[in-house]
Amino acid sequence: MGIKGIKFTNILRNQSQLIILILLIVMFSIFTPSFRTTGNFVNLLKQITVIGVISCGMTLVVITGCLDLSVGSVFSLLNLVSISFQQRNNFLGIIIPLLLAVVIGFLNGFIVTKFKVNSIIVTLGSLSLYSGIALLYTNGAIISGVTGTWFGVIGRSKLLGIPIHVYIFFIIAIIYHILLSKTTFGRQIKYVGTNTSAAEIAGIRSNRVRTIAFIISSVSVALAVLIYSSRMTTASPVTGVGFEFDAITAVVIGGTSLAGGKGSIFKTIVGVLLLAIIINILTLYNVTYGFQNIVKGILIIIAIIIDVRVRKRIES
Amino acid sequence: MLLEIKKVVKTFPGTVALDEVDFNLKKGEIHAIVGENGAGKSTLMKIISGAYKKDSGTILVDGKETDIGSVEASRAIGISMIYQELENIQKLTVAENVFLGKLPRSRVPGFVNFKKLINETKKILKEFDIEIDPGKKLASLTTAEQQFIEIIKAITVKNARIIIMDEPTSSLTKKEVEKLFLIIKELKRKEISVIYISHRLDEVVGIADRLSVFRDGKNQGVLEKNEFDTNKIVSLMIGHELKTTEKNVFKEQKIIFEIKRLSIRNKIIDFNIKLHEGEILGIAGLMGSGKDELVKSIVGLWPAQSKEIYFLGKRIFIKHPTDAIKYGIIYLPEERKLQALFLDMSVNENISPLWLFNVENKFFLNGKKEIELSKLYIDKLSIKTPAVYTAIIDLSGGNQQKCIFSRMLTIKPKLMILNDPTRGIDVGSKEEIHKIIKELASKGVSILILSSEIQEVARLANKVIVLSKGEIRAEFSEKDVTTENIIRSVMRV
Repeated sequence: MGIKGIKFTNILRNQSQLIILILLIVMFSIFTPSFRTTGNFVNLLKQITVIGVISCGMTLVVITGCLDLSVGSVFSLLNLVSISFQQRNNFLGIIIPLLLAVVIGFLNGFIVTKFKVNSIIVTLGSLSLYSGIALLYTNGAIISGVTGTWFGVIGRSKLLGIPIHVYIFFIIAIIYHILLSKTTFGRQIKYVGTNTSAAEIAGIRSNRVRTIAFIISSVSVALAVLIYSSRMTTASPVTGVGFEFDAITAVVIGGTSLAGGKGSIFKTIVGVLLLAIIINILTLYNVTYGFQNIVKGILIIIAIIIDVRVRKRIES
Repeated sequence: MLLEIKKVVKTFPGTVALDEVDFNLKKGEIHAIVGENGAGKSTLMKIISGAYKKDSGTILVDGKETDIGSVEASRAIGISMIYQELENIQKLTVAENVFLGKLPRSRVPGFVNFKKLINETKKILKEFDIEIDPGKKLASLTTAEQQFIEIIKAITVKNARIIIMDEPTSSLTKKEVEKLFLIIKELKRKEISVIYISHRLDEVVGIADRLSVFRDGKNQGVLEKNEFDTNKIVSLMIGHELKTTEKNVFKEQKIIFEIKRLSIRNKIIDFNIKLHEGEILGIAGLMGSGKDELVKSIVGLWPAQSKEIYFLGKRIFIKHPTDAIKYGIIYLPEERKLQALFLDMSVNENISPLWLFNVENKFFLNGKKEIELSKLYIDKLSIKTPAVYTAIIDLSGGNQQKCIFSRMLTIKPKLMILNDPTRGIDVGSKEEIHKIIKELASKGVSILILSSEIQEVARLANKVIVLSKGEIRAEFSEKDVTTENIIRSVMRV
């Protein structure tokens, strides 16, 4: 096999998710007329923005070798906070959730790194903690913001037939991509995730890097909340339930390794699209919600098995 | 002959660990093996205990050819290795540990006859004159006592005929060593053979019946008890002094670093040294001498109770390697794979981190500049790699180590602390790395070097400090820095 052949098999191996994605799109465009409509595609893109933004933040945490399970309940809480402040002032409705996200992310990161506890357990704790606070915040009630102000522009207006927030999602993804692959901070994340003790000896403060990754994850949740709040102008204490699962599934399906060190925003976008298209197709074929959850569960398990097997092959 | 090893070969990528080694063990004898780290002792023990497979050669047990090949097969033959970090279960009692897997059954199925268990254990302990309550939890015992229990377990449950002890006395007190020797003698009386590996020549000479000296993966000679002579043993261990390479000419001029009153709990007691510009200072000592903890604490990787570091006469504070790097102090860890390499990443990404965050120090990466830097060092240190993008995992150990050296050199270090800089790499690369170290020193870089091979320290260092139990036992400088002097001091002869 010549050099071209080697490169081609490399692409096959490294971008297998992208290839599956393209195959799925081509296949269902041919066989399912309702799939290939413009309306369906726009709808698809509309659905991925919230989870997409959260998944981008999650990707950074996963590459440092941690997980952030708190994103679901942090979403619910920030959603409530955003709308409740928006009732008074649009500007506060944007800035307060962002500031709160920095605090929440810092606390997650600080506890994980300072006390050297498993991030899954810590953020599982904060998942419950913030869902409790979210419930208490409005005593379980659904609240609505003030409609008809500029607060709803991002969520409701369109450009060239596509909602503005879809563009915003892609802009955020590009910024995260640059952060991860073109900056020294992005490189530090990879070093820490690949080998923490080697990174420490090479003078990288791994605790600081991980804490910043957690802050970015929470801030991403806040950005997703702003998109959602702008679209809906309502909030309930349970809007984010299950988001942590969808975000982690997207990241893992995309091919970012749970062992840390390896992954990219591009992979995560592919993962988000894959997950969304599979769910979309299931919906088009009238598969019930219960079955959709079964499919999602099987998908993440398969993705993790593949992740572990690939890693073992590399190690041997 | 109980066990005969004939011309056994074992190779690892890049190194020959055992080169047609011969070894034999009689029934009921205590056979000591001495040799430097890397001489092949551990590899042979791992083959005997079934952890490794030999490449070629023959192994005879009771005159019959056996391959061993697996841990189970080794156990079935009656070979038992006494580990340092013992396999015992801390939460169980002494008696339960001794009979683990063979607990006496009560008449009620599924239950244990505890009375019998305690009595049997008492009986065995008495045979060896060990005064330990069988009902005590293992965790409450001293390391030495736990080791005794491990030995008892080997002969009761596992019916061991051959017991291998690797550095059994490294963490024992003098009294405990005496007790251990009594137990070993009792084993001998019971016609159980013991392979005893140790660095402490004085102990070995006292306890062993025969003694094999290993070097370069070969058995250099078997000495009978009446031939035990420390001079002879040491000369067999050293072999021909490697071609005496020229040492760096070095004049004590400027003191660059000074370390004062460094103490580490249970490891190091009040350590003081001065390092001159261009000086290569070696630290030698056995496992447990505290040398590893000492160098780690200098760069902030191990907590010190007290520590004063002076750089050009000014006190500096180092809590994290980052602080050390600021002053040009850089540490090379001993475990290349675990502590230095970013295995999944490229050669380029493995060379650049220190430069990226300490020299370049920009928010955005400059890929072009980074690759130019890597190429420069690949050229300078003649690293053999297909490309800068090649994954570092695909390089040989020697070339990987040269990448790590490149990484350290990118910050133009003032003091390099090298912990076993040539561990597990081929002879050719070793020579090259020695050359690099000497060149650096001649340009004024101060170097603190530790090695599992005493010869390496002796070849490179201008001055050598021998550590023992956290204190400086001896200091050699200039002409006195010889392998023999250091080995004698380290091994207490």
